[in-house]
Amino acid sequence: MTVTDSPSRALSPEGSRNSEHTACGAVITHDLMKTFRRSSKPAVDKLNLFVPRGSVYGFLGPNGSGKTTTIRMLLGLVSPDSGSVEVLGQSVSCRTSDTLHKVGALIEGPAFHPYLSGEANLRRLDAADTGVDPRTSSTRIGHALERVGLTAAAGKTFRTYSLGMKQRLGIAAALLCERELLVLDEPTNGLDPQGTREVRSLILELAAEGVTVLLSTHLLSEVEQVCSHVGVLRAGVLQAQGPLASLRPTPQLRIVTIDTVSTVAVLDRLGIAATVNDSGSVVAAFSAENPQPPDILRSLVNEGIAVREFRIEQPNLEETFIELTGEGFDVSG
Amino acid sequence: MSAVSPLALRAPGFRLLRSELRLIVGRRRNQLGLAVLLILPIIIAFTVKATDTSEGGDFIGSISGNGMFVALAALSAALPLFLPVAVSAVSSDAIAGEAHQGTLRYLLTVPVSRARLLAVKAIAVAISCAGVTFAVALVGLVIGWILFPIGDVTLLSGTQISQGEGIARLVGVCAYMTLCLLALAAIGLFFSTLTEQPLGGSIAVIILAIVSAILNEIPQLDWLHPYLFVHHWMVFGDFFRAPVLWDNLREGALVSLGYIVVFVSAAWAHFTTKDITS
Ligand SMILES: Nc1ncnc2c1ncn2[C@@H]1O[C@H](COP(=O)(O)OP(=O)(O)O)[C@@H](O)[C@H]1O
Ligand SMILES: [Mg+2]
Repeated sequence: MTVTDSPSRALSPEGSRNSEHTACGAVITHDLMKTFRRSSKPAVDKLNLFVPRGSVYGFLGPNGSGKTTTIRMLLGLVSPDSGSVEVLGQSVSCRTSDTLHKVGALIEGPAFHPYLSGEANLRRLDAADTGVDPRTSSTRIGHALERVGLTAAAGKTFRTYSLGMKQRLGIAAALLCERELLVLDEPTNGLDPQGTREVRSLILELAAEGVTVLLSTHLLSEVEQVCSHVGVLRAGVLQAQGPLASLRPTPQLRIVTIDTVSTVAVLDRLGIAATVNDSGSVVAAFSAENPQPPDILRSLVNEGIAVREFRIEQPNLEETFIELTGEGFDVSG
Repeated sequence: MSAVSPLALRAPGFRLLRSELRLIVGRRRNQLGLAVLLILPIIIAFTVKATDTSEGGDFIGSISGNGMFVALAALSAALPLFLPVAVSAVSSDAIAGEAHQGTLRYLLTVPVSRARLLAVKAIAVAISCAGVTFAVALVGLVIGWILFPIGDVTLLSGTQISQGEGIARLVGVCAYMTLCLLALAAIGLFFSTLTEQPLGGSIAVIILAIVSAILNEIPQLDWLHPYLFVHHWMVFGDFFRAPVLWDNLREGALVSLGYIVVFVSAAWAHFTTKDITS
């Protein structure tokens, strides 16, 4: 994982991408560009997405950063100005879409015919699919509804559904047949905490079955809870991408003591570059290669330093996120 | 789905068309529109029965002689306004309705190829056009035969033809009118690919129909008249001449076909390449 500030090179595991066979990517884009008409700024700017097969990829970015536009390009709804898209090993364009049989998608919220029941809506989508067996239609629809807990409300018209039920029906539609890839655009939008938890556990369940999940979200907590990989988008530019663990900043060692000078000296001897911060604590970046905490503590005590407080802090991922996305939650563009 | 090859299942591609027709028929708005259109022949029949008229244009005067003319009178009353409004509503809804609801993106990612979706939508709209025209005629025929005599048909010129031939010519009228309406539907389908507002598309189609009708009344523009899609609409009466006057009908059919080819192609060209951002 590289975190760069130069947009053009804001790219992922350069090394690993070259070494890994491309077949390992469920979604691969090359320099994907899209500028909407009547818009001066690109909505998506030279995007090089790499979603490994079997991963739960968190596509993280504030509102308006270009997540939905990217997803529309992945699904052949919007054609890129330049660049290419490969989904499950096949290139995608507006004309050829066969590979999408294996892709279930929820794009910018659910949308169904309001006067049809949830079940009838799914039946309509299933009827549109030439790649499935019509005889198994009812079974598959029943199964999808059950999976999202909508069996009881299957016969009600869509317009009577609550926001959460609508979202679930959208997920059920994405699960109508066996999928290799699920593209879920903000799937927990508008859900209550209970519904959010259910959707997240459903995602984990599906991932455990081997389905690759591309999950777009503006919620960092969602990424932390369910994702194995993450890509951070800001104003159409991918800021960073890679396994979630690699995005976590290095832990901080923090020591509160009066003998700051000697503490810094001891740490220096141990190979830890420490500084004294504004509040008078000794702080240092702490990595796995450093001596273990008991050893550090022993050295300090051996020097006769009175340690009041000794802790290793796992800095908040949120700070990293905000660093990468600018202000974090304001709407860009 | 795993065991069956996708290609083997491609043949019964009628599921989507059936779903589409069910959607059109199931819409409350369409049901209301159809009801209004089907009441028209009934109103005409009862009015003629009550007033006992044997004169009046647009086939009204012939009704008391043969009930079949109720169908023709109803069609000719519905053609200038009711039928175009119905056709514009259904055709503009085809793509724009799905875009407006957001269901278009989900249909396309099922996936359904854009060309196939447009084809299915166009066929469903065409079936609706034919369906509504023939339904008006059928209701007219039934109510006409209940209230008025059946038998040989006396044409405007006084010539008599058999009831069977009368029915055949009525079917001809319906087919011709359907073709005329399809020209309008093709325009509606094209507009439907341009907008996400089905109502806007529908209003645009109606305005276009009204403007054509107005232009068709301006004598100074007579060079333009043959190319207006409304110009040949009312010549369907030529089916009830003895013998049938094919010239205008043929010209009207050709103009309609021209509109259909141009606007369906335009719809295809635009829809298969546009960005779906709805
Ligand atoms: N149809 C459109 N026309 C013009 N601009 C658009 C359109 N859709 C999105 N945008 C712009 O593209 C940018 C990215 O939007 P979007 O992909 O929806 O972001 P996100 O899904 O991350 O919230 C925004 O600046 C938005 O205003
Ligand atoms: Mg979005």
